[in-house]
Amino acid sequence: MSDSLENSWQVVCAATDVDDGELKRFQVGEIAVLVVCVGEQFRVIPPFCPHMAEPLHESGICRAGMLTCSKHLWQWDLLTGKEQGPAERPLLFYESEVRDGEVLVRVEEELTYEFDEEDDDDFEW
Amino acid sequence: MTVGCKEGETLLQAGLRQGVPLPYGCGAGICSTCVARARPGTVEECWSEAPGAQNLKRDKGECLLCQSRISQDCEILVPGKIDLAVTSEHKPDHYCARLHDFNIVAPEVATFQLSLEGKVDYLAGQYFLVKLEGMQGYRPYSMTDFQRKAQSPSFVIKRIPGGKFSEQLFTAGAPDSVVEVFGPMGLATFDPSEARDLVCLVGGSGIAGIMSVLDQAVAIDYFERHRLFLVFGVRRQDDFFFLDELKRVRDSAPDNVTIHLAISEEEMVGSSESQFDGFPLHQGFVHEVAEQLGEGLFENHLAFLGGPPAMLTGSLALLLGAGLPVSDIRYDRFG
Repeated sequence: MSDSLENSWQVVCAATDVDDGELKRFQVGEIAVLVVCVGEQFRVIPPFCPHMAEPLHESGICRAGMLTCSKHLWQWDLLTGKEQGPAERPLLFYESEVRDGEVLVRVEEELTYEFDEEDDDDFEW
Repeated sequence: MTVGCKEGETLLQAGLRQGVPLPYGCGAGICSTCVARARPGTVEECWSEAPGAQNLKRDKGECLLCQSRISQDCEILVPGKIDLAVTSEHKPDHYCARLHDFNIVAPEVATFQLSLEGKVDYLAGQYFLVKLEGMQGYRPYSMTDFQRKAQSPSFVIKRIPGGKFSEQLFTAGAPDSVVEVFGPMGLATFDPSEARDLVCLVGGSGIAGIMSVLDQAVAIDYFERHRLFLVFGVRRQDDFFFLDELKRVRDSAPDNVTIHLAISEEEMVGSSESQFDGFPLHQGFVHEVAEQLGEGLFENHLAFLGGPPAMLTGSLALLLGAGLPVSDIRYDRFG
C-alpha cells in the first residue's frame, strides 16, 4: 500500500463499538457514515436510504444479513449491497477494512444517491 | 397519461380516483411516500407545514401529491417505477358523510360512525381520509369492521394531547355533522384466499384496521382453518378497548386463536403474568411480549401491524429476524 493511499484511510470506530446486526452513525471528518456489522464483517455506508433519503440510523433494521428501511420496506443484502424485493437501487459502500481491532474507511469523496430522474429533460428547471 | 382534477381535490386523489396507481402511504401529509415533482407554479400546497413535507426540495419542484392541488394544467413526475396495469379493486372517490355515534371507549380513544351518501365496497384493512370540521386537511381513519356495500362503516379516533380539535372532541363530544371523505385507501389489506396463518401485533388505536381484518375473518370462519396469534398493547390497563370484540374473535375458534394483552407503562402487581378481562396480561412493549411468547411461531405467518412508529419498528425487526419476507408484513405508517 502506498503512503498516499495509506494516509487516506481513517479510523471510524473500534470494531467492538458496533455489535452484530447493529447499525451506528459516525462522523469521518465532516462526512457522516453508518457502520454496520454483519457477523464478523463490517460495511460502511452513506447515512441515507437510497429510496427517499430517510435517515437509516433511525429507520434501518439489520437482521439476517439484510438491511431493511422500515419506511417503505426497501431491502438490501448487506454484504453485497444488492437490492432485494421492492428496492430499485443498490447500497453504496465506502471502502473499508478492519485492522488491529479498528474499523477503517477510505473516504475520497462523499457518496450520495442520485434522487433525480436521469432521463427526463423536461423536468430540468 | 392525462387525468382531470376536480376543484379542490389533491393530485393524489385525482390520480387514484381515475385508476392511476400513484405511490402513497397515509394520504395525509405524514409519511412522504407520495413525493413527486411538478413544475413550480403549477401546483399549490394545501398544508405546507405537513410533517411529510419537511425535507422537500421545493426549488426542484418537489411536492407531496397528497398535499398539492393544481393551479393550472400541470405535469408531474413520480419517482420509481409504476405498473399502470395494477389498479385497486375498489377505486376511491369523494363522498359526503354524516358523522354520528361518537363514543369514548378508553381515556384516549373514541369510536364513531360515518353514514355515507352512497354504498362503498372496501377491503379489510383499508382506511378513509376524513376531513373533520375544524381540522386542516384530511386525516386517515381505518375502518374497524368489514361490510360489503357499506353505508355506515365504523372508525376509531385517538385523542391527541394538546390538539385543539381533538381535545374539543373528547371533552364536548362530536355533534352530528357532515364531513368530506375520500376512499377507500390503503394497501395493508387482507385477502382470505391467501389462506395463511396470521400474526397481528398492534398498539393502541393502531388496532383499528386489524379489527376489520378480524371481522371479515370471523364472518367466514377463517380461524377454523388458520391460526391467529395477536398481541394488543396499550400503556395502562384502563386504556384497553375492543376487548369484547376480541373475545368474539377468540370464541370463534378457541383452539386456533391466541390473544395476549400487554401494558408498557403501568407496573403489574404480583407475578409477571396475570389475567385481565379473561385474557393473559403481560408487562412490556408489544414486540417484546411477542418475542417472549412467539419464539419460532411466526414462520410462514402473514403479519399485520398497527401502532405508533416505535412499536412498528420493533415489531418489524422481530418479524424480519424471524425470517418473514417483507412481502408478508403489512402495515400503514400513519404516525
